[in-house]
Amino acid sequence: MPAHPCAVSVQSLSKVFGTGDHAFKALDDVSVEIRKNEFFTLLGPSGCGKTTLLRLIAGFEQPTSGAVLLDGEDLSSKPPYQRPVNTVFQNYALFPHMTVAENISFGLEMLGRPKDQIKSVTADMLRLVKLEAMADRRITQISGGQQQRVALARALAPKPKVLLLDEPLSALDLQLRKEMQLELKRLQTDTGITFVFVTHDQDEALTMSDRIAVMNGGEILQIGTPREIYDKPQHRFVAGFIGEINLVPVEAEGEHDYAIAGVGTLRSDEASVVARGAHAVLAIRPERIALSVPSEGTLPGVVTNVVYHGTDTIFHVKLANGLELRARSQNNTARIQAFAKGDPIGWSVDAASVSVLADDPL
Amino acid sequence: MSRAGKNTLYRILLIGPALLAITIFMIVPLGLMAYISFRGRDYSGGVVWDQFTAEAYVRLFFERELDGTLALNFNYMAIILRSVWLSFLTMVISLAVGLPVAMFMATRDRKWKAVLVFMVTLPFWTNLLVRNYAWILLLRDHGTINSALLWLGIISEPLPLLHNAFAVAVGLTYSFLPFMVLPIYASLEKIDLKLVEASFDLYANRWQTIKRIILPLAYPGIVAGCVLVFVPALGAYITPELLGGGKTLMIGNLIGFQFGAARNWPFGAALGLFLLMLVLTSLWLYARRYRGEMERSP
Repeated sequence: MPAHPCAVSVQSLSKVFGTGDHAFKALDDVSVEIRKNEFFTLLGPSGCGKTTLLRLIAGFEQPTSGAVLLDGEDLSSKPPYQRPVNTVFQNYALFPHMTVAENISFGLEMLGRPKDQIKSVTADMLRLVKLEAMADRRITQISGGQQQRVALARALAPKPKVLLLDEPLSALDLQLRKEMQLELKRLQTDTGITFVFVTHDQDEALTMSDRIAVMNGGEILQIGTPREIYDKPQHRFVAGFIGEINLVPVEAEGEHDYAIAGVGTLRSDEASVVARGAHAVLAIRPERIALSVPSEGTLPGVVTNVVYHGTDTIFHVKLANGLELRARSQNNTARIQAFAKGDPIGWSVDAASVSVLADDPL
Repeated sequence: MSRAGKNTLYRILLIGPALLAITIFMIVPLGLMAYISFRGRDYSGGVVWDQFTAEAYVRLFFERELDGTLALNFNYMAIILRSVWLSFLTMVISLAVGLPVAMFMATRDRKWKAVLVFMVTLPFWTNLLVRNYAWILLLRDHGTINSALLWLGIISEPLPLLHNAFAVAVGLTYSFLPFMVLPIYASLEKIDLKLVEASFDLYANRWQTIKRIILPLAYPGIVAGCVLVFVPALGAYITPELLGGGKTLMIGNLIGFQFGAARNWPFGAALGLFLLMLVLTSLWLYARRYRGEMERSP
């Protein structure tokens, strides 16, 4: 067990831009512990504060209050060029007047490493990102995907304790993005460097991360593994931001039972977050809703729309109280779907797949 | 008319005005200058058109004694060298002053940038002659600067600030500084601030960032600024005339003198061509020396 299992410790960090009437609180008392060798993702919509948090860790911005610790050491007084942290910028910010190799060796040169070491590390990095043949090319002479890899190699070359990645894949097309997702994950595993990855793409976050922090309005709403974030959202925003989800307003009936007004009762494994009789919201993923002919143990509804998606079909199910649910059913047989528009239907959800959220506004 | 023929006609019509302007305003005057420089001198002004002679060029380096023999004469060369030296000095001082100013301007926010650019161009709203007279008021023995220094007791005698090379260098720097600031500002302004952040991120401190990232990227602007200051400074007329007090002559004054009081048009034309050659040669040498770097800068 190392002395500091936390690579980065963010403590009560706040950042306010501007003053007076124009003041904007980009980050509001955020605390998070990022572990060593972790692929940690900050996920949220634009303007949620995720990039601000990254820039505070890098040292490009000064916090209004709070501190950032790296391996237990307070970074507050250190300018960016004294922090053992490197950044992969959103649009790469490669130096246009240098070659690929010169870009990669820049950090090592600035650290005053010996010439032969710079040479060998640069060669290693070029090999790591598979750009050996491009070493002497100008930045303007290589493709977007190659630029992306140069940016990565440049940031990895000085062997930082933490690598910060600011939406590095957003400029790539879908195909390349998918490839780079796997590539990034491989690099993280190979180098053993802690990655802090910023993205607004939930798919990217789910596939690559060890843990995800979902942010909105300058706050971290939930931190957890991709599975926890997806299956057990603890906040309406988290539930809505990641994947599709049905939010069903209910009233708590018992510790695990929730009444949908005019429809029936649903069970959840989760202990109630609200008192009996209080309002709550159930969050249910569309693929967890099982559809059948109306029968004992199912809740009633009517199919109002059927949307075919190839791998699966989405059924829109209207409940007696006017609420419309979406149920996703996988097309794992070629048989024609049993339900059509207007059919009365029965639906049920496994108690393990029902998350209970407090009925607070978004 | 065939389509191709029509196209050719259009093309000629389109570039016609430009060609005409270049011919009238550049080629004809230059040709005339070259022609005059090889004509005989009319002592009452003008030229003897039917006399061919290279006398004007001989005069650049030699003096004709009364008995007709030639003796080396470095008087004109000295003035030309002084012009080159003063222009170079002006360029260096302008660069030293202009670069930080341009950097300051380029790093302000949008609103301030507009104000600062306007302020840099403000001197152009007044006549250069008037502005040089203003410098006389500042620099003369009982001018603002000397009076202030005397009053403060820092000096007991007025400093000789006017009518010397110092005054000319100050005046030239003042006149041409905006030509240094603006192109550098333009190239700095285009630099993506993310590159500076990337440099900081990769352990470069402020000086290393300026040296390795900002200056190389501003290089085209710096070159443009240096050319825009050096070339007009070399041909300056008003500033050395007024602030040099007729003692610190530059090529411009020498040429003006030949067409005026000295009534030696061929020599004036020869000096003009010599100046042109000087500028072209230095630009060419420069371009050859730095071709590699120019190609590498974006």
